[in-house]
Amino acid sequence: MQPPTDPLDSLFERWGESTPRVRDSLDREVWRRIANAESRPAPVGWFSTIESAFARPAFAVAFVAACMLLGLFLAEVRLSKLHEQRSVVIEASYLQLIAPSADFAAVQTTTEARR
Amino acid sequence: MKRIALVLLAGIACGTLAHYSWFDARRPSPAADLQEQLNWVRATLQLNADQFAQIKNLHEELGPHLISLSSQVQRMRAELAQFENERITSGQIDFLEFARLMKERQAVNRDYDEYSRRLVAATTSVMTPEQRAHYLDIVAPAIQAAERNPYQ
Repeated sequence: MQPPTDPLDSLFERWGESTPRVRDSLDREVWRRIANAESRPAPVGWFSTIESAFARPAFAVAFVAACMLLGLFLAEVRLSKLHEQRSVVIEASYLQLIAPSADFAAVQTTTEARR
Repeated sequence: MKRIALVLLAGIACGTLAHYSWFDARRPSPAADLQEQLNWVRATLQLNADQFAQIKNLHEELGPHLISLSSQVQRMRAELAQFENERITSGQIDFLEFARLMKERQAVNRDYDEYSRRLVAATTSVMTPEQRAHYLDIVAPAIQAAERNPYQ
C-alpha cells in the first residue's frame, strides 16, 4: 500500500531550487560592519561610560522620567509637611473659637504631652 | 558632551515643572475659616456624612456668635494690655474705666462660656462614644485653660 502524498513534499522539493544566491556584496557588507564594530574603541573611564549611556535614547528618556518622578516625590514630601503644619494651625483656630481666653501655650503643651 | 548637557537640562526642567505643577495643584488653601475647621474635625474624628451635616449646622448656628464674642475678647485683651502699659509707664490708670472693662469682660466671658459649652455639648451629642472621647480629649484642655485663666 502506498502512503498518501504529503503536500509539503513538493514544497520541500522546490525549496532548494528557488533559494536565491547570496550576493558577494552582502557578504562584504556584513564583514565590513563586523570589522567596524570591533575596531571602535571601547569607552574608557567614567565620563566615557556616562557619555555613551546618555547617547542612548532609551537611557535619556528614562533619565528625564526619573527626574519627573523625583520632582513629584519632593512635591509630595513638601505637601505632607504643609498639611501637618496646617492641621496644627486649624486645630489652634478651632480651639480659639471654643475657648478664646485659654492660654494656648499651656494648651499646646498639654496637647503635645497627650500625643 | 552636548548631548549630556541637553538631557540633563531636559531632566531638570521637566522635574522642576512636575514638582511645582503638582505642588500648586494640591496646595491647601491658606484660610483657616469655619469650613476648614469643620473639615478638620470631620477628618480627625472620622465623622460620617450625617454626623458632619448635623455638626456643621450646629457650628453654623452658634459659630458666628462665638466669632463675634471672640473678637470682643481680643479687643478687651488689647485694652487690658494698654491699661497695664499705662500703669507701668505713668504709674496710674483710670480705675473707673478699668472697672468698666472688667465688668464688660466678665459679661462677655459668661456669655462665651455658655455658648461654647452649648456648642460642645450639642456637638458631642451626635458623636459615638469613641469620637466623643477623642473630641473632648482635644477641646477639654482649652476649656480648662480658659476656666483657669478667664482674664487673659
